[in-house]
Amino acid sequence: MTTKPRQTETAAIPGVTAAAERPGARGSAVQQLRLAARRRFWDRMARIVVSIGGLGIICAILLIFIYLVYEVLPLFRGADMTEREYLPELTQGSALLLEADAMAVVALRIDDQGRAAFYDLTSGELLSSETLTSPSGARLTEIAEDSGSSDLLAAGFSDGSVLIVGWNAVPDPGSGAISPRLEFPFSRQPYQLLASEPVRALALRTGQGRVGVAALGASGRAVLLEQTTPDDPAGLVAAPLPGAGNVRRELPLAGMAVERIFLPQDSRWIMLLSGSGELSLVDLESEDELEIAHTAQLAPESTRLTDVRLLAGGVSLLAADASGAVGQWFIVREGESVRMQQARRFPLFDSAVAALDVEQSRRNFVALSEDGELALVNATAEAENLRRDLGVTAVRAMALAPAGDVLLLEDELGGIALWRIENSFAEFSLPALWNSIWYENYPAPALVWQTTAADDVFEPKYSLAPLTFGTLKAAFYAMLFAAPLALCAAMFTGYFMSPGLRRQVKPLIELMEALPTVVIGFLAGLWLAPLVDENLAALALGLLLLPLAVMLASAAMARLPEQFGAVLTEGWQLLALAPVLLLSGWLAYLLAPPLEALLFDGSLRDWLSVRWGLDYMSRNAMIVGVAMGFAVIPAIYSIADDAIFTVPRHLSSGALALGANRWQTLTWLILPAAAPGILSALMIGFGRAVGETMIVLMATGNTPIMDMNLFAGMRTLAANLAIEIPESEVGSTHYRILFLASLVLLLFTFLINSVAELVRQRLRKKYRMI
Amino acid sequence: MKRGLAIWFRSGAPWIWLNAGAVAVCLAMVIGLLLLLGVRGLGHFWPKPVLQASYAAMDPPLTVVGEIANTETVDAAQLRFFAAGLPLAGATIERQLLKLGNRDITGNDFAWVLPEFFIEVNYPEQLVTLERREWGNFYGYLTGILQDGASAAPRGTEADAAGALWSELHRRLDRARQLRQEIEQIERTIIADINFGMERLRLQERRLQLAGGDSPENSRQIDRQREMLDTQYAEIRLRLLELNRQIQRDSAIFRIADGSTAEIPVADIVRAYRPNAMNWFEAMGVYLARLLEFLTEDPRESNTEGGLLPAIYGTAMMVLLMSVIVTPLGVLAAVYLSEYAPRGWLTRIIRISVNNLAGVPSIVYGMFGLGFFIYLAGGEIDRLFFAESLPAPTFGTPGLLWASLTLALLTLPVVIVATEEGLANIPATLREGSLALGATKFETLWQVILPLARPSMLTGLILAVARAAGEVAPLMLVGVVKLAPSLPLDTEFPYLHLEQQFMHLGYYVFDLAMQSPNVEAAMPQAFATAFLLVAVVTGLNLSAVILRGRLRERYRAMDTGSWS
Repeated sequence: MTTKPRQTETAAIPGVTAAAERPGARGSAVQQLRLAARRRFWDRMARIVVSIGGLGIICAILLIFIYLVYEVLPLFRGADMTEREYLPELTQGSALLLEADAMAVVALRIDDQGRAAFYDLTSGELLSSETLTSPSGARLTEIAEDSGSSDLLAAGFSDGSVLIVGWNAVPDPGSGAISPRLEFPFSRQPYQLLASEPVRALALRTGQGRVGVAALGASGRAVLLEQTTPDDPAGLVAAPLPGAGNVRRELPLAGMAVERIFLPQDSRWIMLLSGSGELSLVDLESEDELEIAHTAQLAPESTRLTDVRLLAGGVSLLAADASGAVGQWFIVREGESVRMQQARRFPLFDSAVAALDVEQSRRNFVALSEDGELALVNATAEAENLRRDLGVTAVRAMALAPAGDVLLLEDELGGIALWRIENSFAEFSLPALWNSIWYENYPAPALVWQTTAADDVFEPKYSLAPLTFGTLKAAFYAMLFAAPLALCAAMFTGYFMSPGLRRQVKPLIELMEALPTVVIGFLAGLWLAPLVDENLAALALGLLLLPLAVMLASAAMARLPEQFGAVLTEGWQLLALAPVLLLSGWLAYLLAPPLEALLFDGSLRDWLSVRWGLDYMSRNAMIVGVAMGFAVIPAIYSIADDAIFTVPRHLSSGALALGANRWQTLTWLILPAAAPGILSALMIGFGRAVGETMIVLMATGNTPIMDMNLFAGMRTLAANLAIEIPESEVGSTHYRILFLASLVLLLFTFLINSVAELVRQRLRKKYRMI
Repeated sequence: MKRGLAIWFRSGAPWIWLNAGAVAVCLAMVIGLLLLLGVRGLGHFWPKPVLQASYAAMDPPLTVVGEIANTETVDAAQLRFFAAGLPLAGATIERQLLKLGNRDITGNDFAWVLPEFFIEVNYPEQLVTLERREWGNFYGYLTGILQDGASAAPRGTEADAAGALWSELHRRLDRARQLRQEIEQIERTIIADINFGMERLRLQERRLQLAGGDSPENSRQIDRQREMLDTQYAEIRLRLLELNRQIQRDSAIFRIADGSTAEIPVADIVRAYRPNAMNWFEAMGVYLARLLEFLTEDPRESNTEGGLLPAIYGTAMMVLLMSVIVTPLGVLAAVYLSEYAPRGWLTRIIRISVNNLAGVPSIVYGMFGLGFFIYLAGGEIDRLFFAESLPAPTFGTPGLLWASLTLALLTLPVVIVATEEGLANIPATLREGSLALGATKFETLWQVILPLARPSMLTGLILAVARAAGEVAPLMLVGVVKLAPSLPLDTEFPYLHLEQQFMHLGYYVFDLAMQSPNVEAAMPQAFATAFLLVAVVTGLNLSAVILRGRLRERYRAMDTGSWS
């Protein structure tokens, strides 16, 4: 018979007993061999299972790295475009407009005869066509797209009338068939904007509850018509455009040689472009007939403008010129002064820019050179997403779909080439993540993190700099508070305190580490912040008084007779300090108000803000410093204490025997020996402070500002993740940038911890040698 | 004297004292924090006396009734600015936060007052504190009881009319409480059953549609079942209506501070007591009752009152699930690293990496959990197994399972490190002895090493549980909610609802502190919850520390050969 290895359950070491009792003499040799084989088998099996399992688990942990990288990588993959379709020679006349719908299933082309043709972008066939005419038989002369985010178009006729047209390409929910057609949300009847002269230039703006149309006549006369549509914020009421609530305004433009007009989204302005490339910014709110707030030369000296368009959002103007460059201009207001500012200029090509088009909500544009070279650019991030030599010259029209996923190019033969574009992360570029960017309407380039706003054409601002700054600031103040306290405490318990007492005290301090950070954050935000609010002066005074009082206490102790000194062990020392702490705290509280009245005109906070311009926010870096300092003290203390405590005792004994006193031994011998350990303690503390989430989330205002002021708040990388990831759309640029931020956090803390660990291991080896 | 000072400085004594001061400050901070939480957290349940006073800062003086919630000293200059015309002397002035209650009647239930303007402060014994299901506390004098709108005051002599009224109120309170229990019982069991049945039928129908098997016969059968449930529901609804009518029968009439009367339905009253008339034992009774309510009831008033049973329950469920996941995995990895992995630089790197992962910010784990578990894995599971309820996600949304998994990953390094330490600390003599007696490596491991390392595994697990119980940042991303409609473990199949969102003590504190519309009212509850959380976490940690200390001593004893 055999004894199964698992059966015995005796006292301390069951296995050993079992092995000893295993009867070698009993049973046959065959059984024994079989047993040995079985045991070998199980041994081998265990090795395999444990190895695979163990390695698997470790790999699972490493999966975090891999997954974060996997989420981030698509950001770095550039754009791509492929030609899908060629719709041969379908078109007639010259195109006034070529555009695809938001889903990129249908294209609309309107030619100079007023023929509006709808093409199916998947099959390439002509779906339907109708003619856009004026009832009076006038010819279509001009088409303008909306500067807002609607699909509306303004059509101008040769008799000076204007019609607002929409178009619809939504598939039928039942059959899926698309029957696109023109729609007339306002009125089927054109509105006589100009008196019997052909419309030469046209502009349309919708949004914020109003619709505006501006037309320029052949004679140089311009008229602006605006209607507020309070019933429908989208500005798409089915009411006739002319009617109540209309503002009609004549703009005297004599002698200005205006060629084109633009209506930016800010309804205060209208922009007039002359043939020589001079842009005049007209203030519509002014009392004057025509107040030109600013003029700017869009094209550099002796170059010709080839195309000018409003960028998505209707704020920036893109000016392409014959030198192959595209400039981005927008209105900047500083105090009373207003100017058109060129924020950036993209020198894209060697030859002139032939065509330009923009997306509907992202700040992306596509430019085509006369040589047939194409560039896809995100203006905000200053990122050239794609450059491709298409080799097509003489392009008659170019259209980028509203979502930027389809590009239509009409060549001189009348055929339309369709390109699919994959460019989901255009708004991301590494330099934009860290450098100052000149955002729309900002007076100067800035580092800004602002990812969401009320409207969908908002320009997202992805600069990690303010968040990184906030993280480092919070960690810095936390270390400022924690490092001296933790290191001093470590020196005392590690060197001066008896091991017996140290065993009691150390776990108590280490208990701080176990306290949930949400509780610390709660106390910091709702208990400490109001307390400090009221007792700022007392706190500052206490910081000064406390060390003084301790020194005084020690002086007093030194004066005590010898026999007391022997009784006064470290435990008593700590106890003796308790009343000192209490007393100095109470004194600070008592003395603060009169001192404040004496030195700071009654209020330290007001004095700081008046005298030094330091504005006091209730939840500020000081609160975070104290609260997070509290959280990192145990990490620093624990490791530093170990480092000091494990310095071999004979070193210190030798020094003491040679006549050094205890303080000298500590500073000249123990601390240098333990320095690497202390360094690693500080690093680990710093790593914790960088990654801490809840405390900063609860104890600061979470505004991403860059201000080193002790009394201002901040937003850290970690807190930002907690705030924004639940609202971020999965797979979007924002989502992936947040993952990039978490990868940065992970790598940073991992690196700093690894270095600290290596330092400690080296130290341990050194001690072993001594 | 000067020389003496120089010598004293050179001796380093003042610096040593400063170091001692640092230790004292650290200790003071820990103990102070625990004391603060303990006093504010546990003090919350004690019934506070309610004062009545004439407040002379108003003209004419206003009668105020309320509890003193907070006292602070403020800058007088600031106050003078806001309250011009008041005779305020001195540099600082004490002000008190008075909890006035009666939010439904007066609109604001807290007010700052200056105690020096109080005249005739007294604590009337007849003043009643009501804790209500809605609108917070109520303070007033009981003047009558109505039944179906008609007075139902008990007849009695003039002398003990008030006493008789008071006991009558309690009788009616008991009746309302029983009725409420009955209502809740019905809602919790029968109505929940019906809802669950309806949902199951809907899913069944959808599944049949997806599989193309929605024959008329099948749909007839489903319709029949649905009809049955509907009739069942109609019956129950009648019963509930009747109970609700009964519970609304009584109401109590109170006179409040400004002299007007208010009618409070008895059904809305959770508890009624006269704080100024209570002796210590009665107060203790109220204290214990409130403590019990805190631990065993559902929250009220957007979490600022009532109990936090769902949060305790959710935390425990999450931690339990996490333990089940993390223990075997952590031990397996530790055994591999300590016993089977080849000794070399690679293993060293792996060990350091695992060590360091404990220092990685927890929010990063939350991001991983959200992206990988919820969107990737959860989305895939939904597509494969829960296609009938799409587009509403089942597992592709934050929930208990994902939270437990995320925290398991977060605490895995803790368990691995602790277990490995335990394995490494087992005296080599035992291992060698076992091998020398002919045991294979696996037998040595299974029968000698692992049983001895059990306490260190337990230590690791306790530390992991303590960390998980206190962690909030990752949970905010992977499954915690402010208010969960139902518990993750109940009597409906499949009993354990892994996909449900849950409540958590730490997040409860966060929510009360940061997202509560009435911070003053939320503070006591937040303190009490924070205290509970800290008590649990520190308790766990201390037990781990003690366990580890014992273990070290035992190993040392073994190593020197003197075990017992």
